[in-house]
Formats: sequence, C-alpha cells, structure tokens
Amino acid sequence: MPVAKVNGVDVEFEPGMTVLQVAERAGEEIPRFCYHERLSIAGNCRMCLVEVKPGPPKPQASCALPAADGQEIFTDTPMVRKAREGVMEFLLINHPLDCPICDQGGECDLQDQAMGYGRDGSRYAENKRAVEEKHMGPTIKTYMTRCIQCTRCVRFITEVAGVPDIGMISRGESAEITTYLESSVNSELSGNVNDLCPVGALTHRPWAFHYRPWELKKTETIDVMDALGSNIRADARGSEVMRVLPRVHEGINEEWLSDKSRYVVDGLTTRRLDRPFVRENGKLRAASWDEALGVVADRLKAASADLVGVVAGDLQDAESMKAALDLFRALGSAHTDCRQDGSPLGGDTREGWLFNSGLAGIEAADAVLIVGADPRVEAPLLNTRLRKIWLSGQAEVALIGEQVDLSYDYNWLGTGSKTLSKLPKAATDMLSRAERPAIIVGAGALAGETGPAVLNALGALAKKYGVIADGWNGFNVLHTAASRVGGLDMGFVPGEGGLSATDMVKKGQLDVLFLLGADEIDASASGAFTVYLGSHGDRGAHGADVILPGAAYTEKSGLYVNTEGRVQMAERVVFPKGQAKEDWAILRALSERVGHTLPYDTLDQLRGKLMADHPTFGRIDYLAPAAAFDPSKLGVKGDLGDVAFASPIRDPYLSNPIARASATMAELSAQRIAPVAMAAE
Amino acid sequence: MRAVVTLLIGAFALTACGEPASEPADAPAVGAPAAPKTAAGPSATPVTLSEAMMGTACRAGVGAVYGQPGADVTVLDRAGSVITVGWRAPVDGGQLTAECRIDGNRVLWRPLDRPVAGENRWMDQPGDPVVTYSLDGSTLTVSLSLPDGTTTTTAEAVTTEEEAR
Ligand code: SF4
Ligand code: FES
Repeated sequence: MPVAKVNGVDVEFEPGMTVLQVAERAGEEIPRFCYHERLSIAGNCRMCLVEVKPGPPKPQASCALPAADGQEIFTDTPMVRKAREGVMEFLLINHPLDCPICDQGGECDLQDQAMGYGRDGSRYAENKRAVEEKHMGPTIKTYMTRCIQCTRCVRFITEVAGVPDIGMISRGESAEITTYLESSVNSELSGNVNDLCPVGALTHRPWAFHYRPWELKKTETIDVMDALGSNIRADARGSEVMRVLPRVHEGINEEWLSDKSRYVVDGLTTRRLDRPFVRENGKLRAASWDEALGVVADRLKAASADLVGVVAGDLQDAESMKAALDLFRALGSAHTDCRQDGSPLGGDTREGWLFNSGLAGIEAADAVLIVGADPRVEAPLLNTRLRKIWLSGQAEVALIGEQVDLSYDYNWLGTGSKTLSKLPKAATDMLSRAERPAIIVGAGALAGETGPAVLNALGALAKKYGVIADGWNGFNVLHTAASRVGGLDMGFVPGEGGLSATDMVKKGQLDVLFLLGADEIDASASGAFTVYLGSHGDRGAHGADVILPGAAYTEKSGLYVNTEGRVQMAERVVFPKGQAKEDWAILRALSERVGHTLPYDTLDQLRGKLMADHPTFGRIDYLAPAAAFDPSKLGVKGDLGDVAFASPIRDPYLSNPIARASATMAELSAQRIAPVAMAAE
Repeated sequence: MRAVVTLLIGAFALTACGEPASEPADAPAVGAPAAPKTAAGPSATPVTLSEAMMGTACRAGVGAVYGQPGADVTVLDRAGSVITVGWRAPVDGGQLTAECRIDGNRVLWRPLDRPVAGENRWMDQPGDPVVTYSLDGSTLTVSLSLPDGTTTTTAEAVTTEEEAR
C-alpha cells in the first residue's frame, strides 16, 4: 500500500484516495465546505487548502488532489493558516453575517469554521452584494445572500436524487443558485439539500423560525413512514417533536432521508386522539379509561370467539402486535391479520417475505427486475441505490408495472400479470446474462385475487434464473408498511380457519372488530362493534364505537423490523398526548378485564416473551445473511389473469394517519397533483 | 387515421339551449351548468369524435386541469365511452390517473388517486371547474374555466400521429 506523511507521520492509504482523505485518516481535521463524501468533487470553495511536497510552493485544495506515494502533507503550517484565513475572509465578504436571525445558527459550518480558521475582523468596507430569495418549493427556504456557491445542493439533486432541478447561473460575483424559472424542486428527497447546505442559504421551510437547535432534546430513533426503517434523530422541545433529521446508517439510509419521513412531524400534533371515546346514540362522547375498557371488555366477553377479530395497522410496533395477537389467541379467535392490503405473504419461510439481498446488498446486483413496485414512491432511499448502480453502468433495470419516472432509465416490459406469464425476451435475456440477478416484488403485484398466483410465478422465475444461488439471494419483497415484516415474523396472520383482514371487514363476518392502528382498510360495511386503538382521528377512528387513544411512533419505545428483516428499536422522544397510553399497556389492561391477563407486566417482560417465541426479534440491528430457500414453493400455482400492477401508494404524502394530519404533507401532495387540479378538487 | 368529424344536428340543438348532451348509460348524472361562455373560449360546437380523437381531447382536457402538456398525458385504457388517462406526478414521478369522457363539448373527468374515496368523483358538480373543447380543422382548443372565473385556453395541432395514441 502507498504511504504518505501527514505532518511528519507515516500513513498508509489506498490508491485513489485524495490528500484530504489521507489527512483525515491520520486524524487531522481539514476544514471544507464544498467537499462531501457522497458527492462528486467540485473543488470550488478552497477551504481545504494544505501544503504538499513535492509540488508547487503554494497551498493546494486537498479535496481535489490525489494522494501519491511518498507525498508529504502539511495541514497546519503558517502558509496554510494564512491561506485559510484568506479564503474565509473572501467567503465572508458578501455573507450577511446575520447569524442571530438565521435558522442555521448554532449548527452552521460557516459559523464554526469562521471561529476556528478565520480572522477576527474584516477589511471589507464596501457594500455587500444581495441576492434575491428564490422559490424552491414547500420544503426549501432560501436566503441566497448567504450562499457561498459550494454547489453541494446542485450536485446532490443531480447526482443522488436524479433530478437536475437546481443549478448555478451567471458567473463571478453574479453567480446565483436557483431552480429553472424558480419552479419547485421536483424531488422526494429535496429536504436533504437543506442538510447539505453548509450555510443558512437553504433551510427547512416547514420549520423556519420554529426553534433554535440548542433548545432541542435529541433522541435517536427509527422512521416508520416506509418499510426501510431509516435511522433518524428526532429533536423535541417540551412535548412537541420539532424536527426529524437523518442519522448515518450505511446499510439503510446512508445519510439521506425522504421528505415524507422528515417533514411529517407536524402531523404528530394535529388530529390527535387524547382521550377515550365511546359511541352513544350514534355520537362519540368522551369517556374515562375505565368506562371505555369496560365497554370493550363486555363486548369481547359477550361475543363468540369465532366472531371477534383484530387487524393491525401499518405503523404498529412489534410489542403491541404481540400483545394483541396473544390476547386474541387467548380469547380463542383465529381472526388476526396485519395485511390490510390483502397480500398473500406469510407462512413458514421467512425469506419468502424479506428483501433478501439487503438494501445495501442490492448494489451488488447486475440485473434488477422490478415487478409491481414504484421504488421511488414506496422507498425513495432504495431507489437512490438502484439509481447508483444504474448510473455506474453496473446493472440493467427492467420493470413490469406502471410506467413511472424512476429518475433513471429502465426497460419497461409491460403493465401486469399478462407480461409476467409470458416474459419478453429482453427480460429473460437480462436475467440469464446476469451473475447476480435480483427481483424486487412490490405490494402492487401481490394484491388481489391473483396475488398468490403472481407470487408463485415469481418464485418459479427466481428459481429458473438463479436469483437464489450460492452466496446470493436476490429475491426481494419490497414492503410499504413499517410494521409488516414484524407482523409476519410473529405470525400475525389468520390462524387455522381464520379470516383475512379483507374478509373480516365484510358485512356480518364479525361481532367485534378490533382495529389496532388500522386506518388503511375500509371497515364501514362490517356492521361489527368496532374498537379503534390508535393515535389519530383518522379513518379507523371515524367509524369506531370505542376509541382507545394510543401512542404515535415517537411516543413509545418499540421494535420494528424493516423490509430486509433487520430488527431496530425506536425510542420514546416525547410522552403520549393527553390521556393516551402506550398501545401494549392498553392491551394489557384490556386483557385483565376480559379474564385472560397477558403474562407480562412491563415492556421488558413483553419483549422477553416476544424474543422467546420468535428469536429473530432478539438481535437488534443485525442483518442475518439471507439463507437459500426454494422460491418455487411460494404462493399458489394458478392463472395469472390479466391484471395491471399498480403501486398501492397512490399518494405517498397522504398514505397514513400521521401524514394525513400534516399540513406540510398536504402541501407536498398538492404540489404533486399540480396547483390547477387542487383548485379543481 | 384521420378523425372523422361529423356535425351532430340534434346534439347541436340541445347544447345550444344550454342542455347537456345525452350521457352514456353507466355514467353518473351531470349536474353542472353548461360551460361558461368566455370571449377566449372555444365555440360550443358539438361534434361526434372518433375514438382516437376522444382520447386526444381527454389527454388535452385532463392535461389542462393538471397542468400537464397534453403530450405528457397518455391513454391507458378504454372501457366504452370512459377513457383512463395517466401522467407522471411532479415531485416523485409516480403515476397519476383519471377517467375521462366526452359529453357534448365538455371534457368530464374523475380523479382516481385521491386518498379519500369521496374525492374520486366525476367533476361535474356545480362549482367544479369546466373543461370544454372545440375542434377547428386540425386544431384542438381546450378551455378550462375555474370556479373563480379564471379561464385558460390552450390550442394544439392534432396530427395523424397524435390521433393514433
Ligand atoms: S445554496 Fe447552500 S448548498 Fe447550495 S451552493 Fe449555496 S451554500 Fe452551497
Ligand atoms: S473542500 Fe476542497 S475546495 Fe472545497
């Protein structure tokens, strides 16, 4: 391995590394604005200057200079210090220095580096230039006078998001960052540019002037807006979650976050269920916990065991699902289901419902067949990885389903099951050519009556083309619900003779229907006595006879299993609202009243039982290497029919109760539909 | 295939009196008033459109409502007189869809993707925007009148290629 000297210390490095990276490896801090590990190198801020020998007797930009064997790198000489001070002085010439009113204040690279590497005064007495604010959409607030033209925003939106909507116009002192004709940034990842902007030029519009960063209590937790389980940090002030930022997890979200996961937080404060309600004479009225639980218990006790059932929602934590499953099994009911969309997934083979290659692992694939999924809408941060392998030329991508814009080119094979039954030659060629082919199956392909047959056909396809081979398992199910894999892992599916979720809500099937945060299923025709346990006054609560207020995902500690089968623990950021309680505790209290007391008094005991019954829950943040399995046994062999595959997420910004309560999500949804249509609808 | 444009005398008389033209049997009742007449709006000349031209009118009409160029809206399906059209969602490129049918000189549509089922209805109620079209030779003019009185008109040339879509 080549060796360079950093401030006199020998450091080994891999060929291709830059001087900045080698210096970092040696533990030296190099200030930078434009350089970012996950973006291309621009080399335009000049803040990373170092002295390098051999080389010209002047400071050089370390981020753009390849390291070489025998090189001597100096990061703290008088020449380097003077050069940095000079660069900083230049950067601040036109900067407004309005830190006291800037949302970036307190967490600003420019502020920090000016303190660390700048002069203590300015020699510039002329007028500063001012740049007009730009409109960039509902997520980005601009204050372009603060911009230092590092172009991080331009490079992110072009390279990672794949939407070349932000660019720099003019040059020299007139250079400005803007969107084309000041239109909104058309990306589901737009909020990341606010994180990347090293100054306060781009800040989070929905949170503008809402907080100062040092006022916030920071909690590391897990996102539930899709099934990826992105790692987040939720910052709260008092009882309110003020913002959500991404945490780095190389296996899941790298360091990005989708706009939905980030800006949904205002939905945590509105439309909340903060006390129990009981329906009386057709109207809901507030009730005490004692009364509400008593009414539910009486109904459950009076109903025959085969006439009570529970449906678990998409945002539920594993513990509350386990408590509900144990309770209904104790009552003698087999009617339990976590698949609101009627998916046929479940059974004995865990690999049959996992994203087996792993989210990071998909980057090893050289051919990807997407069936009935829109990864850009359903899992934006999986889509960025697919874009990455497409961009590098490493993988071909083909799609059966809606012809959507994935931000990269793909071979569109057809709309649905007919294409799957007779796969075009282009697809068979692609799969047989590949060494590590992958199939991504979305909920859109598995919904409806043909779902089991489609699953079976995809399993057969996977077997035929070696999608599961030695050391490689490319059979990937892409879920859209954060709770789904956890539910399937614990067997939250109908027991023997039990009804599926879609059957449970049919007229006259049940006497008591318990909706555990289930808002995406229409239970209005059921006619059953309906109990809703959840956090928001949304669809599930509207038709309920009793409402039991539960905790939202930021208000409880809970386990979630992501689409690749990785168990992660979400932490409580704030306490549940009003009289609301953690879901498992409500179910535990109810169990006592129905005479089937659940065998756990604390969350730890419940987790212990969950892990004892289903050992996969015992390894937090562990991604088991995908075992080989026989995919041809999945589903049921049958006629595929002629069904068009459509993503179940029709509007990603309004796909769950928290999102529907969020003003920012409503704004994003309106932008997605286009302003004219909003006036129309 | 060139569209065959035929003047329908009976429908002309009905529409000229402000009455909606007859509807397909399975379509919901049209409760909206006749299209507001504006100086910029197209003439309310009712015509019988070929299937292909109905698709073109739907693409242009729905495109006007959703701020999309007609060329970016595609016909996905036809079931009798109801045509399903789709276009790419701004922001994330997902697919948005709507059903559309031609009623006299009006283009009626029903969004299919609104999360609240009740919002996925035919936009033919009083207070809904009104989209009308007219065909003059090879120029298709679509006029969108919003409830606040604003009217926008777009015209596009209908080529043989387009008609076939
Ligand atoms: S807006 Fe921010 S990220 Fe974009 S170029 Fe300016 S300083 Fe850099
Ligand atoms: S970080 Fe090296 S030039 Fe900007």
